[in-house]
Amino acid sequence: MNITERLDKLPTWFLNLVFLILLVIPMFQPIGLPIQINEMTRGAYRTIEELPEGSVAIIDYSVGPANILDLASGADAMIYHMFKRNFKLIFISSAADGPMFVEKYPVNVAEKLGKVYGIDYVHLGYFAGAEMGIAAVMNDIGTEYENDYHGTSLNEISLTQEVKNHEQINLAIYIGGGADTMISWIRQVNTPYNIPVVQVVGGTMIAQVTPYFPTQVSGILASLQGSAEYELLVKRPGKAIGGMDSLSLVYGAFILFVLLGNINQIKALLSKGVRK
Amino acid sequence: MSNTIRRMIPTIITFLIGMFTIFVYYIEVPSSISDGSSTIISWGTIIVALATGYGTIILLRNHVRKIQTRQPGEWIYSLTIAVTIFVFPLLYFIAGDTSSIYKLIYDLTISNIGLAVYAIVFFSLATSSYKAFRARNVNSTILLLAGLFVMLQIAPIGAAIWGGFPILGNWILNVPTPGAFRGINIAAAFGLIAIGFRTLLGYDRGHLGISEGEGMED
Repeated sequence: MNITERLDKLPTWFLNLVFLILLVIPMFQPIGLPIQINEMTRGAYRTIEELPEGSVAIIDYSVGPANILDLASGADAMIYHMFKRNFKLIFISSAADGPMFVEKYPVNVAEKLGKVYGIDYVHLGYFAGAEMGIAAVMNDIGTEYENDYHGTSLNEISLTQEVKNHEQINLAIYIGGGADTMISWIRQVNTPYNIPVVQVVGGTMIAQVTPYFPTQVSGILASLQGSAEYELLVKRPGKAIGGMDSLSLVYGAFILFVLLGNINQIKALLSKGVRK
Repeated sequence: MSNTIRRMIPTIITFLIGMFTIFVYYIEVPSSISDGSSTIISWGTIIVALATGYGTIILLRNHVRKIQTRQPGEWIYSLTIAVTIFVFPLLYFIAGDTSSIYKLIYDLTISNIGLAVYAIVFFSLATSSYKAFRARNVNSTILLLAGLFVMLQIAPIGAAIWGGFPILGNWILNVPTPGAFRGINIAAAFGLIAIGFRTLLGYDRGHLGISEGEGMED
């Protein structure tokens, strides 16, 4: 077996070991490569900046163990941005795991900024019904929720006394990995009520959401990349910016392996001519 | 059960409720009528919640059967599922999902296992992509190049190597990708409208548990 054939068939354990080492190195020795800010990320930032201070945003925080590390940093940066602009935030979840993570991440941001539960933000928990649930919440929050996540009646919470339905909501944000739910927010919120929709989604969903940008979806935070860009925009460096160095090294190595592994194929294509 | 009860009544209910909610969605109506539509929509969420509960019972029944018959290589997993199905609701009813014990068990099981599994998926994806990304013909070469350009657009190392990589990657993400997806989405939306009308008018009766071939004759 010659060298090009060897490169064509690198063993799985070797590739995994290289990727693991490259993932870990930037944790100890950051590289700090410059990050370019995407137009979709700028769109999300602009949408929040252009809304008046004190606007009300409803956030479908539907992350789970699968995508929390991918999305939490960007979501945190966006929530930080909104709190800085004195937005009132209503957290709901179309995914059953979501409420557990609302209590861990956004609530942590709120507490660090000294925001008051019930006045500046409220957590209503999970709602069933996916698209129908979104439609119901926008029609009347009370039809889906009688109490908040902690069991307090919505009538006793200042924020939910003021915000009853879509008429008081200025912005909708979907944070999660559900391709259907992502589109449901466009169909049930942007189309009928013209409320701007921003999405924080995983890398595998970008192709499905970009067709709606910038008209139906005003901004998109795409995976770790979008999160890092948003952290830069709000000047709040976090885990995402650090993660971009790992991403650079691993992607660089991956591309190198792919190119080396294709030497035989490229030779064959050149010698035999292009075949379909 | 007679044909009328089994087919006609559900079809009429589907038609009336469907047309009513569509009507209210598209046309400005007095609040008393739109409130009716909101009520129907909230019924939908209740039905979904009930269906989830029913699905859980069916799942449990299937796994209990496997445990009873001690199916080799399967019953131990069925036992795990059965226990889990009881543990979390039980904890919810005893302590509530905001309690520290519920959170602790969630973190120690679902959260950590989920994170570990998805972290492992990265390695699996990376190595299988390495094996799949081969320039065997024109189509696979285009796929390979598009994939590489998008990766070089995402990772800052792309711009560090050559400033044109982010531009090319962005072009792929912003021009051909949305264009193709818009076409697919619009075609799918027309299909959805057609299926919706067929269902409302009673031509499609799959939601009633009636297959395409079954007629309305009896």
